[in-house]
Amino acid sequence: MIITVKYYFCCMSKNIEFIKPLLFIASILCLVPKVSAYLDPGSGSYIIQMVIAGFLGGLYAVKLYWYRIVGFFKRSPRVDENNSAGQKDE
Amino acid sequence: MKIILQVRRMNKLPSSFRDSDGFLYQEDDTLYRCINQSYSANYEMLISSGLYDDLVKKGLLISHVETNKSKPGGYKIIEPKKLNFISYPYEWSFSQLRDAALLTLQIQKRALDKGQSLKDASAYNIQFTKGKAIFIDTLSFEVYEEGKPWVAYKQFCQHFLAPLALASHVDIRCLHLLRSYIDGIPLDLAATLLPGKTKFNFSLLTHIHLHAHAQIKYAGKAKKQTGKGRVSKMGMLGLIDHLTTAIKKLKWQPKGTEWGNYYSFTNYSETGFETKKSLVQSFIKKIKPATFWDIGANDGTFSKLAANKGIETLAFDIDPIAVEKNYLRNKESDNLDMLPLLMDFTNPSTNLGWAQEERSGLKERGKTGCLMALALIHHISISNNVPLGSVAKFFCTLSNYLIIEFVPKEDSQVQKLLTTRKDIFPNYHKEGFEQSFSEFYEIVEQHHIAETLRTLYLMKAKV
Repeated sequence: MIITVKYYFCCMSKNIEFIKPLLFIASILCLVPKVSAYLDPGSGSYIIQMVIAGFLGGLYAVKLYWYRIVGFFKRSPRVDENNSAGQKDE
Repeated sequence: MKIILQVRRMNKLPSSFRDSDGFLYQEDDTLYRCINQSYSANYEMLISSGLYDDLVKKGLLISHVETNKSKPGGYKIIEPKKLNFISYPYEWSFSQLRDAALLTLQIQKRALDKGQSLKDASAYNIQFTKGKAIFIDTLSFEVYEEGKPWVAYKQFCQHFLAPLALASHVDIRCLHLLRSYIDGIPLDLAATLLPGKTKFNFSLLTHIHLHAHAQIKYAGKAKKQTGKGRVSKMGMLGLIDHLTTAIKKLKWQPKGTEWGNYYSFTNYSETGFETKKSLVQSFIKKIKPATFWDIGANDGTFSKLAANKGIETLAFDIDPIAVEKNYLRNKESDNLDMLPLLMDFTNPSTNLGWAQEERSGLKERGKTGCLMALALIHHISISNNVPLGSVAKFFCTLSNYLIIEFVPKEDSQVQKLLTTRKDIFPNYHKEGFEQSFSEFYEIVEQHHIAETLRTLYLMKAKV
């Protein structure tokens, strides 16, 4: 926890306002877990992933609920979540 | 010892060594994938969860059949659908790499829905068939453990996000870096090369700049730590969704170029153009090749003559704009069995990677049924000073049949090349061309192209 918070203070010291919420997320995250994989996931890559995933997960949850609300009022089928990363994009 | 000997006889593919869960090998011209015992639970989950059927049905994953073969230490041996030509990320256009990235993320999302996750996110796991990207590594799926971060996140950023961001924000030629860095572009390098304004792009800030910073800061440190860091499933889905949005936002539009007007046959009258087309069609009809390579294909107008006949066609060009346009048009409307690829024939792809065998060079990937080089010879022989005989010798290693257009010095396109340089090519004329190529080929047919100074040849390699 200490290292993630310290890391963020170090990186965000240049007044990037919109990153500040990540500091809160960072504070609830812990250390790097043990893994067994043929790839080296990279220590730094794991840490940054754990830091941003909490925040992005929250955003994603909001997005899903927003689609549901909009879909309810429009009375149209909800956007196919699986198609969001489809080969045919907008 | 017994196992080692058997593996040798199996002709294991030199690129198949990283993943300890299995390997690819060839036997009697058939490709097999041996699944080791260590992967049995993951494989059973892939099949029983319905994920395999789902992905194959949608054309996202290559299909396979289980065989009755067995190997010591092996769990199962499967026979994947064979692809005739394997292309590499450093041969793809911007949109090809972008589609490969989106396919990887789409598969990861579908895998998560079925309780699995991708254990790697290599661009080499993607190939293109009939104009669309397809995932080819059946052993990339593992059972998802709630809370475990995505092990392939770093690889995804190196193989896809960093090169696409560099191509989009710096220069399309940055994609060539993938040839030097076959495990993807190091993120610290990408962060250094990207302009400062990308730090105000939240996606690039987090996945490249901060990611690179974290890699440097914690290099070799956190392995000693054994805490319980977690990424919830919602967090993982959020990460995948965010990466998808980041990739979709990356665009590449050549500066000062109107897509629609890019390709033009300024040197040809309509009659000349149609004559050339009908001659190429008659040659193709005569030799009926199984595969066809058009080198210097531009946007694939002539490559389509073969692809329209159902012939598996590769359309190479040195120009990333031409390859991009060809790929997009084929994907969106033509849907032909044609693969546009980026290739500089004065410096084609060579053997790369471990023991110089991991990624094959162009000629190591086998011969094609017919090679076509239209309006190319002057670029190779005059712009790059390659002697005509040397061109013939190299072409001979690629195919036994050759369709080639000779463009004489009097042609306006060659005149342009000679405007600013000394003419040191005394043998560059029709007779010199025929003499040089006759050492390796017999000329089957030759036709003057109406309303031009050019000649079109059909040649067959001398045995």
